[in-house]
Amino acid sequence: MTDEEIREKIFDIISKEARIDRGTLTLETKLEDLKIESLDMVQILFGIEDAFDVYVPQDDQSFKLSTLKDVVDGVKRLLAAKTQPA
Amino acid sequence: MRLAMTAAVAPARTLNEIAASLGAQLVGDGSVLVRRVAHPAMAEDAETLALAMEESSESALARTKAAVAAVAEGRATALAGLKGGIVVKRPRYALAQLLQLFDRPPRTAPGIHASAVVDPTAKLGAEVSVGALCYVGPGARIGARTRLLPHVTIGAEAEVGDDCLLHSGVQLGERCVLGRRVIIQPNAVIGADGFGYVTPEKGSIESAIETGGRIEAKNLALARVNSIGNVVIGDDAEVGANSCVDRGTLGPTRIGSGTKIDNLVQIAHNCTIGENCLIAGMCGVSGSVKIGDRVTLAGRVGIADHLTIGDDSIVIAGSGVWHSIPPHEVWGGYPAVPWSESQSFYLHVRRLPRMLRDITELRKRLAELEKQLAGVDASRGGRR
Repeated sequence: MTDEEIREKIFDIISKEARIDRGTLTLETKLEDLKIESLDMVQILFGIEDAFDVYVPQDDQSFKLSTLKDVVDGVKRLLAAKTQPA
Repeated sequence: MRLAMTAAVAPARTLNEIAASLGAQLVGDGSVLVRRVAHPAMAEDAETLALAMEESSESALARTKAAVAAVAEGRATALAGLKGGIVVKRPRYALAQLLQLFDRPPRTAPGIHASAVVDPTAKLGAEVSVGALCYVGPGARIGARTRLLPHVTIGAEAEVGDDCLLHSGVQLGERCVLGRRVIIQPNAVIGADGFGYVTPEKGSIESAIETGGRIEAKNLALARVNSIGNVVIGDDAEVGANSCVDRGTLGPTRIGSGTKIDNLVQIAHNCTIGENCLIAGMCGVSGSVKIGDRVTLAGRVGIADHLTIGDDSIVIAGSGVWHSIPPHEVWGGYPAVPWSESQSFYLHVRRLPRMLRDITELRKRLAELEKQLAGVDASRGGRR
């Protein structure tokens, strides 16, 4: 999956679950500024996990999400870890 | 002599007066006379103030019959084409203020309707309205300007404060007390008996609690625990339609001043609910629960008996509360836990199907590995 495909998929999920205009989302958009309700955030998290077949760590301090770029980079890291041999 | 029904029409006000009353910014002609408020698409004529404080209703301003409108801060440009308007900072609050200015209260007639039964020992304040088929019991007291719509029952020695409004079918039990400006919606029952019963010997619930879940006793008889207390509701409180507040066993069940209770809510005997709480539809509060001030219970929250809910706490819709909640916390879920934990639980539950799939896959791979290892061991053994 290309970086662009990952980004597009994440933007689609956020737009759908938080009912946010897709056109307003950029990599620089801060999650805080989107004022997403907590339950919508859970839906987004679940949507990402389902779409990419990953588990997003919840208590991992290295997985800090501030902007949408952080979300995209975080998913890329999870996908990379998945493809590495055990 | 019976007087005519009071007309349910608010007085006309200038846009200037409205802006001043709301503390809103005036734009354009402040002399425009306003007789009513409505959605822009529903405005009847130029004397209507169109409510366009939400972005979704702004587009309708282009075709409205209203001459003036109310819009949210930063949206004054939407008033172009109108004679004027007001700009409000907090739309939802402004809506509440406007609907107070242009209220349409229920029609009532002053005095006592010919079909009402008012005990001669009852005391009624000035300008009280008692509607058709009401009953006011012995020793009851009704405060000044309070309105009882048809079919209201006020029990013996009950007290209703000044300026209250009791809608049709409300039943206020004997000795129950309402403060001032209380609103009780249709068919609410204030002061029914509490749900209190006891078995002569140890009962099934006590047995289950003692044994951690085994039921070794039977409820062979249920003795009634009479309710000889009352209900006391503070000033400016509101109880919704078909809601019930049961009377206390010995003392009062209390609802604090300013607390608003929605429709179809059950408040059991001996509860104490603080001030300015919001209790949404279908909540059930069991006996002897203590709820602090400014607590919010969203729809269909159930609270087990004898618990305490701290000041300013919020309980999310549909939650089942089995444990007391500290002040200033948001709890949710079934059973209710702090909201951050509840969200985590929800995510984990949603993960279960994928986790099951992954575990099945891992078990298959583990079995294959074990098989391969067994083969390696066997071949090593054969070489020895």
